[in-house]
Amino acid sequence: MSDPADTAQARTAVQTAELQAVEERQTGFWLYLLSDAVIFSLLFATFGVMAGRTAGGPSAAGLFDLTHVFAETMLLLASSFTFGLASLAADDGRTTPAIAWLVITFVLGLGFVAMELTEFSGMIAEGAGPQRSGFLSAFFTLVGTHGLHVTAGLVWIAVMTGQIAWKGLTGPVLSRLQRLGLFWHFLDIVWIGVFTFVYLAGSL
Amino acid sequence: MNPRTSLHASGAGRLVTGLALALVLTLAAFLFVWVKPVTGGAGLSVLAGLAAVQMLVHLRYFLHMGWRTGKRDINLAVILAVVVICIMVGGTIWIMHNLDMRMMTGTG
Repeated sequence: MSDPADTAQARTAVQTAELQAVEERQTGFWLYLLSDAVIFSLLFATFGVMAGRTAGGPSAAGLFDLTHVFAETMLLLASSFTFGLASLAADDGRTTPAIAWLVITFVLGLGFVAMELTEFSGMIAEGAGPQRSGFLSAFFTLVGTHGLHVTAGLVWIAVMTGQIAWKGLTGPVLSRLQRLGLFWHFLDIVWIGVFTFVYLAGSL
Repeated sequence: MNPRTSLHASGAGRLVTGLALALVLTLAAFLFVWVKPVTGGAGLSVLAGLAAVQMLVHLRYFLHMGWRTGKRDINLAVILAVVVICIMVGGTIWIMHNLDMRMMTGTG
């Protein structure tokens, strides 16, 4: 029996089920992001408590190079913007621009991680490593956890770029790309807290 | 047909607006620390205010793409997370500050 009305109805039912599955995954990913937000908040609280515990070692004032931090901030903000452009291109079905913007986002994110590693290794070489004081332990834990998240995001961006190239902009690929977008923009929001409460507040 | 198309009708314009606002707020925060018109608690309050506004800008202009306004379960989860964060962060700083005062130690 192949009544065209039945076929259309069945197709609509499948589309509705797919949309619902995408929505459920999105909701689940929001729950993960919110639990991650709780983790970061507690690392911020720990840093707030430990900020003055320098144990005679270096304190925040004079330790941080704000020009360096500003450049890191610009890299991450630019990468959030280019990811938004990649999402727009992907939603419009433009495969090549989507891949190009994702590659640019990856390069900007990689620049951020490279700058952070340079800062960390410079601090450790100066004797301002995580074992020096409570302040520095809290600093490396908070900023390092954010850096690890960005690194995980870079791996994910690389995987999604590959999926778009090989599978095309299919439903599941678009759905994953949306969740990666949530993750990447979320990390930029956490960084607002880091540059404000760690670097700027410490240099005030 | 595609619900995303209408959602992203002005997508690029929204992104550019978000980027411009974020740039202004970031520059304001860095300039504030460079000039240092106020320091101490008042200065920290200004920085915290700028950060809060910028976080809202990012949520509105960058995260809006996946955020269907009116999705009840997500909104409820966000409210729960905010409450949990306020209790744990506020409680931590309150208790540790109080202990610090009782120990009467200026430095660690």
